[in-house]
Amino acid sequence: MAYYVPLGPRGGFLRFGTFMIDILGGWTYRRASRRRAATFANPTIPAALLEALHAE
Amino acid sequence: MKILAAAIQMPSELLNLPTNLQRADELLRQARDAGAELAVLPELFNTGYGAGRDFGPHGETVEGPTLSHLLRRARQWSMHIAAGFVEREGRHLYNSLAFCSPEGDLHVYRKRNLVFWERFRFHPGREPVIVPTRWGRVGLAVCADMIYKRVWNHYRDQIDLAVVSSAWPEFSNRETGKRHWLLGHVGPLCGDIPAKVAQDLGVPVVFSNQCGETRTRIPLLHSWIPDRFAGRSSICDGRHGAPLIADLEPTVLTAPITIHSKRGLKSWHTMSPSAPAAASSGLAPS
Repeated sequence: MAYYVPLGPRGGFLRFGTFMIDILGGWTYRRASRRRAATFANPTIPAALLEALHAE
Repeated sequence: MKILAAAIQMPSELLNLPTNLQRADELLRQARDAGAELAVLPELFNTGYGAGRDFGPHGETVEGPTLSHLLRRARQWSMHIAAGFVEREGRHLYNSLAFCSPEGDLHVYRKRNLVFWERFRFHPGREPVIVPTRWGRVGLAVCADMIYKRVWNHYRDQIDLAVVSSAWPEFSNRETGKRHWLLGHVGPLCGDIPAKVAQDLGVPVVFSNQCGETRTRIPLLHSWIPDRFAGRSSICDGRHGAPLIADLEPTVLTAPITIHSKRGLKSWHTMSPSAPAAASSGLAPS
């Protein structure tokens, strides 16, 4: 993983942090996604706003 | 070829879709009135960006209210619109960037390089997306994507214009002004990287960032910064002239960009995973 801009010594911390977050975050995300229903409805917006947005 | 591009810099309220959509629409209207052919909205402009509750109930498919509205506006106002949103596909959530064209085409790029709390909330995308338009090929990226070398290497010599949608914080305490010890030098980079990309790849870059207050959560270090978004949206015209850079306030930044379309519309461009869904839905042009 190479950075487009040099980050100096902080780059090492960021690489390590990103690696750890990838493992921990990925594990947490997988657990959350398994609990989520596969079927769902899109969010809705109030009819008045929809009408206003459709006005033009 | 010259076109007028608009980078829309706006604050978003967390999980308040109606307010954010209305605010974005007003700014898009300003861009349209200025004559913009391309308008770019920030990352997750419709839900707001911030660590918090599950984005699941706020995620949308391409048939959701956000993209339906943006596609309608793109057609009505003959404008290409790029906007960041929470995409939901089954159980998975993606931090995505939609690109809507006046012809009714829709392409969706999924952020590949998730940072900080994002990896806890989103599934990473896998592929770069290049969109063919009548003025050239557009490469899409979201926020922290632009810090990784491989992202731009994928696009090198393949695109005529880059669009980056972002919610990049300053990583400094908004009360004291003190930079975070680790990330404090990353915040200001959002003002520099688009211009570097434009110079390096030789293509214009339109960079849209959020502005306003936020709280940045640093995972593993268990720390929060009372932060603000770094603003500094910019329009960099490749090798032509100096970049135009916004400050920290909400604004519609407009500037002409010069597109040197090298190969025209080619069939090798990468289609996004959502494009077939859009094409098979009522969103596709008839």
